[in-house]
Amino acid sequence: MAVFYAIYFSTFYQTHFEKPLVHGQAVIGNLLLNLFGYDTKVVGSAIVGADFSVDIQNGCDGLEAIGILVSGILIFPASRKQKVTGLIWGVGVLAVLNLFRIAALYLAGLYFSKTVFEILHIQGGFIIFTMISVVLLFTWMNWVASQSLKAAP
Amino acid sequence: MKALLIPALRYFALFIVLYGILTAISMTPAVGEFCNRIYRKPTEPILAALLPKAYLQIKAEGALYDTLRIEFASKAQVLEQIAIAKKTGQAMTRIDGMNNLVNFQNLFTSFFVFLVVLVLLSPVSWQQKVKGIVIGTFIYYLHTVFKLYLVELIYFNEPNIAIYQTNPTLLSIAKGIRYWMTVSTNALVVLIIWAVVILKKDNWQALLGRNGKLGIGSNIKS
Repeated sequence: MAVFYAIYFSTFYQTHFEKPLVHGQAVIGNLLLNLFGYDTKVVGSAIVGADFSVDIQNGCDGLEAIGILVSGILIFPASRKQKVTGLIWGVGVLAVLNLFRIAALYLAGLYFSKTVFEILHIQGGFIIFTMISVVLLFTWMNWVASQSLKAAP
Repeated sequence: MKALLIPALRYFALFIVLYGILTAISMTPAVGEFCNRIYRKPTEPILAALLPKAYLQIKAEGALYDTLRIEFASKAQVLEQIAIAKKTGQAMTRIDGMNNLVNFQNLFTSFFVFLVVLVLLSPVSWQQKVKGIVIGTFIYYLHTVFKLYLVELIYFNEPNIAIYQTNPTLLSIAKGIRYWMTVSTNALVVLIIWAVVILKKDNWQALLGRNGKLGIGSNIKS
């Protein structure tokens, strides 16, 4: 995680990767909202509607939860194939869930008060999303353990 | 795969329910006031001791007591004003203090509840859970006090406040550490504390399940 944060908070990442990433997430989050009939558009890293807008910042991109999962998989004793499988599935699931989280936060801001939005932003945004990452990690560890038992003579 | 996913989903569902209940309780005015008061009681003298050049007090704010108002004034300026008042024969003098607001929910309460739920759902004895919550809360509390210290130290070095003139290198280090201490890293700190206070070699076995059997959630009933 120290390596992750060294990269995540680096000027290099923030200059070259952060903006395209959050813009991309805003575009896909906006597509999801449009699919559900909401008339929103993307302006930079923000999803903008007539009555509410949400700006995706560092921390809302889901990368920290992904970082926890990736760190856990990389340090756990497992074969390379098992780690790659875990990384593909785990990162994929978290990336997709994050897009739904962004869309859901927009809807929360649209239909509820600022206080409720802030609560959902922190509770749902950080804590529950982090917990999803932890559960995915432990599920993968369980899978590795069960694979090891199957392989044992 | 289904056999692995069901206990994980069950564990997650239990986490959501318990976390939701405890969060809702923590947000009631009575509980919010209590948590805020208990937090401020030791924190004010600790911060005052760490930042001796300032008069400092911490008050609760907000209907849900979800905010800390940190009021402060420069001791040097206060003494200067008192000296001027004495010299000019004034019986009273006005001291202009300042304040900054800290979101107590984001600093402490949300992540304290997160820690409690993690520990409560861990496959360990109740004695270990109580011990884990007490020690874990203390460690997390120290983390938040350190964060507050850095926030105030950096603030006190602002040119318009100028209570402190910290060595530029040390100030840069303080700013660097503070930059890392975001709301989202609070969740990581809680996870690390949970791992340290609860997870041991035999607990890992229980969490994952002995002999490769299903782990997360499977020990909840016992």
